[in-house]
Amino acid sequence: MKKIKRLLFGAIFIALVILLIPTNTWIKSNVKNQELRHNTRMVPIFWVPGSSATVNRFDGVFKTINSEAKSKHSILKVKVMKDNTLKYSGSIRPGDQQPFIVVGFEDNSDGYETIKKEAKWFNIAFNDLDEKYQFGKFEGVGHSNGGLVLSFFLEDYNDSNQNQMTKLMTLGSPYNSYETSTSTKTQMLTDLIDSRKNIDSNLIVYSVLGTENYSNDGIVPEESVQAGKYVFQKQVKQYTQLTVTGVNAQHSDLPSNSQVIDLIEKNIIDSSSKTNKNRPNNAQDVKHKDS
Amino acid sequence: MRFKETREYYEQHLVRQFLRIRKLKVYDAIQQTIVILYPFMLVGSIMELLRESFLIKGSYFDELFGTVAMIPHANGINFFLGSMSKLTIGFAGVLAATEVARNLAKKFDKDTQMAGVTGGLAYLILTFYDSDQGVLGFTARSLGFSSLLFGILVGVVTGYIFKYLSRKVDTNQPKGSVIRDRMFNSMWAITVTLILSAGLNTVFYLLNSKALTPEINRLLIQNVMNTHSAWVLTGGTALSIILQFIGMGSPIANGQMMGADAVSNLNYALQHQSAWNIPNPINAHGIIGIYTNIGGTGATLGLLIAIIWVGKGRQFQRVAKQSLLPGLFNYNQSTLVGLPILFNIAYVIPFILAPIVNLLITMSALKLHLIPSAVYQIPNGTPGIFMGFIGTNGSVQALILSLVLVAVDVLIYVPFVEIGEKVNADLNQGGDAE
Repeated sequence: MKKIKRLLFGAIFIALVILLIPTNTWIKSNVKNQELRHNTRMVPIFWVPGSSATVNRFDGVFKTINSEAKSKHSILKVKVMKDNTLKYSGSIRPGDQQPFIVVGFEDNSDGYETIKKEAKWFNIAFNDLDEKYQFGKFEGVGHSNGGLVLSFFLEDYNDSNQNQMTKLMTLGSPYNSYETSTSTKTQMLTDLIDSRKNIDSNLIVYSVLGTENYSNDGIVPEESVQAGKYVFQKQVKQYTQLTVTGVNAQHSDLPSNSQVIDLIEKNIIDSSSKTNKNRPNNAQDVKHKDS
Repeated sequence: MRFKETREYYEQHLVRQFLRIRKLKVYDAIQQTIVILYPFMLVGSIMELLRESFLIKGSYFDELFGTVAMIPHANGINFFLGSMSKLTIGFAGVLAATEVARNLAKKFDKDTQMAGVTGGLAYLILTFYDSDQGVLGFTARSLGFSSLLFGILVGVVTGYIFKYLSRKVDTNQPKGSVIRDRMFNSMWAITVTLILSAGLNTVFYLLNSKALTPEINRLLIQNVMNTHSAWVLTGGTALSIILQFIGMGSPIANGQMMGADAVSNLNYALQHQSAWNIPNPINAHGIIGIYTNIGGTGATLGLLIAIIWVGKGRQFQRVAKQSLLPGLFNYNQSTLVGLPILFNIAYVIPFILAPIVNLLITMSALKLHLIPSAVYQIPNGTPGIFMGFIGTNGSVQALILSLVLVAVDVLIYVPFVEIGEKVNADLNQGGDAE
């Protein structure tokens, strides 16, 4: 009887001591992980170019912004290939709280099918980056179809509890393709509206619309950009539609339009990081349509 | 020598008092019933332990070794084990009503089977609230272990209804007529019991109060979870243990006390990468949720070790050894009913004393900066003595404190184990326990 008693106590004691080792390893790495996630203040801005544009699409914008910023934003470019592999260039500087990350695609043709594929590819790049940098929050700027890619990413892939997009700016993104009337909804717009509930309700969205004449920016009809309201309005915290006219308001010029850069600096980039250096301002009227 | 004499005097005094109470018929029926629940609670708590520690995502062994992904058909096994634990531990109230009614009827020389079935049915009727599309609805929390008291009360009422409204069982009658007699002998008692419970249930239904126990629990948890006061913590702990003692389930369970303060503590610790000097060291998660009730409500791990160490009764030894595994993971339902502890005045003092002493030692250790505060989240199904270690990000001091607390609990329980065994020995010698 005594022997069994001792054996029982001994076995339990040994089991507990052995368990202590993996427990210790696990808790240490678990807490380190939690600390990392809790303490990263890094809020990267993802830039997504439109169709037929490469990862170098925003180089001009970055140059302007960095020439005016107190601390320069480091730039990392990711190109997602057709076989789901990633090609990196550039790097994120340690301690940079607001790095720019451009995500471009080898297949950058126009069309709904490509946009959906690009959303999937964006997600692959995004997860790879999140594993490395563990950012809780991020922002997004999408030019043309790039804005649609970010929208599909939010609806179909993003878990806002893990990674929350706080601000999104779309530049001339055609939510209703090339339709000039909102009464005919394309399949793409219908799909975006169907899954709008998946978008985080704390998101702030700015939709920038350029006009060359009174109906389009040379490529995308006004109505198609404005159709974004059916996706975001009453779903997100704030949806603001902005119209830019005048010089460089043509669709492809939008990213280099100084008024657009102003809007990006004011709304997307932390305004405290900007110096007061004046840039020559070409007179343009900006119509704010808040909702 | 003086000390030993005084101790023996008090022991004998206590034994005499306990014996007097134990000879009450109702009390004895309740104690016997509680012991009968033991095998069900043991099986149920081991099933629950396997589920909570291995098969739930984010549980202790899953975090350590990824068991959920490793075990094939984890979901199916989870369901399989859950069905057993939910209908044993989760059905304890019904079992208690059945057994108390049966035992009382036996003491009054009435029909035991009829009384037992009626008691169980009466309890089910009391907790019934809806039936829809082939599914019968009961308020789950009123059926289970935290509603033992109500089960016992229903059993007692049923037993007394049988005492006054049914005829005695005549064992000398020829066999054939016995069954038919039983039918008629108990008719009135059965009818009255069922009508009474259905009536009470309807009153509850109309008042829209589904179950009493959860309400009390919710109130107590909310007060304890958000307090900074050592007094409220101590009072809340004592109250919850007393509730457990009378079979109402302890509202304060281990490891689930994350109030608003605990969250701000966690944020502070993550930011400063240290669990020392957090803003609210006196909080429920870091103290009650971890150190107070090691082994389950009443710090019963210490009791199990005390019995295995000094206990002489063979049956007590078996209960203690079988309950040791669930006890290590803070499941003590089998301990509470197997000895039993519930309603057993032999154990009431250490049952309340041990957790309170643990609480005071832990608070002193925190005040003296001997241990860092436990702020990090602890996975489900973590062994009790590891909870402090995990909650402090692997502090050796916290592990040592847990071990010291268990040792203190053992010392608190040892004299009462000896008294409990004397009471039992005297009962068996007297032969009038039955």
